[in-house]
Amino acid sequence: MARAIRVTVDGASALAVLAEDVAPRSAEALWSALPLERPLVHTKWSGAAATFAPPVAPSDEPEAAVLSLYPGVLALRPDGEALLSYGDAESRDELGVRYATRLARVVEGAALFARLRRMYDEGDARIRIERADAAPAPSRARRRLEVEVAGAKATYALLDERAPRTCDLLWEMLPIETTTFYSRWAGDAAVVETKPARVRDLLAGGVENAALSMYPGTLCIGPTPSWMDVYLSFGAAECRGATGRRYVTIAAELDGGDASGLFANMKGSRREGEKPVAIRRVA
Amino acid sequence: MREIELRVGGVTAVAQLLDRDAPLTCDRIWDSLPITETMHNLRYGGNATFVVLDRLVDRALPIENRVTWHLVGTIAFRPEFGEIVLPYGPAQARDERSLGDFATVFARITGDPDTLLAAAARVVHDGAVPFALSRRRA
Repeated sequence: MARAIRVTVDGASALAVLAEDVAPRSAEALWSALPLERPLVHTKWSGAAATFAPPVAPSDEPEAAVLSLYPGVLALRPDGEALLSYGDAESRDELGVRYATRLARVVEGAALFARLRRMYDEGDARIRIERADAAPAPSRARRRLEVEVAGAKATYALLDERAPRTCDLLWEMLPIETTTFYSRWAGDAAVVETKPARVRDLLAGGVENAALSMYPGTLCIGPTPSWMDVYLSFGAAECRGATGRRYVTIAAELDGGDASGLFANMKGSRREGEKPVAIRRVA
Repeated sequence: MREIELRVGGVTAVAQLLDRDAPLTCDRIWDSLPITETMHNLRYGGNATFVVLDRLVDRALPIENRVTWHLVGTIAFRPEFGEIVLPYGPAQARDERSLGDFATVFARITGDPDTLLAAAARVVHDGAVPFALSRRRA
């Protein structure tokens, strides 16, 4: 089980799980540096996030490099800035987007996020990070779906609270039974092409829970005027097309369990070609 | 020559409207005065403070005297958001999905802007402050 840390900002606290599966060196370096306490400043460039001096010396190249900082993500940039996201955030600076190492992610951080959000009105705070016992699994009840690729399955939880319209449309479409193939543009993600009747409605409302980075274990929705791509990320993936990066909706995430078989089959589509995929509701 | 007075927290300064370079925007701003709002630091655009007023939103108002990187010592306007921007350092017109947009520079601070801009620079650290913009009486 991944090690956990406790993140506290002016008394508001939450547990976070280290991303040891994707950033082992950086996670170990952070663990070794704990406990630490730093001044915390709201970011001027990266959106809903706060920034502090890095707890560890940044490496030249980020591990588990991401641009999008999902809510609760703690990230470290090679230029020496650490970021803690509480909402819609993207690692940026004066020159534009900057890849960061995904170090950890907060579990059930409502109180912590609320305190971070207040920084926008109230100014600087202080952050303390320390070692903790194992983090509990999230307890929020969510609609669930099962993804199966060539016989390997895993369960995902819909992010209804962050992408309600998209999740409703996806739920309506289930079951989906077709084929999936390795994405040409997006890295380690398998793509399922669909043609829902209401995809234009989805576009009209704007991209919910938008991100460029598709973390491993996410199910992402990329609507176009004519069709809708469902991305199943199994590694380092970023939504791109022929004309560059494209924002997608992070609609669902793995809901625990072992997805190694599913990921292996998704990855296999790169060399072996299209594979059968089914996405269905979990009762 | 029309002038406006701006107040950031407890610090005031005078700015001259750039009527020749941004006539439509200057008229729009002038007609909307006085403005009082709460000023925050930008979250995507860098070293600048800003206010947003729904009543200033006007997607049909063209960008005049346009910049993408804000100019310290000036005041800019983004009509699609109703956003008035006061830069105190490197700052660009950006938002959640855009890394570079345009804004209208509609006023220039007269005299020494340092005290005002220092007050603006403290906002990210000390928290949001009251902002006021009004017509300056001759």
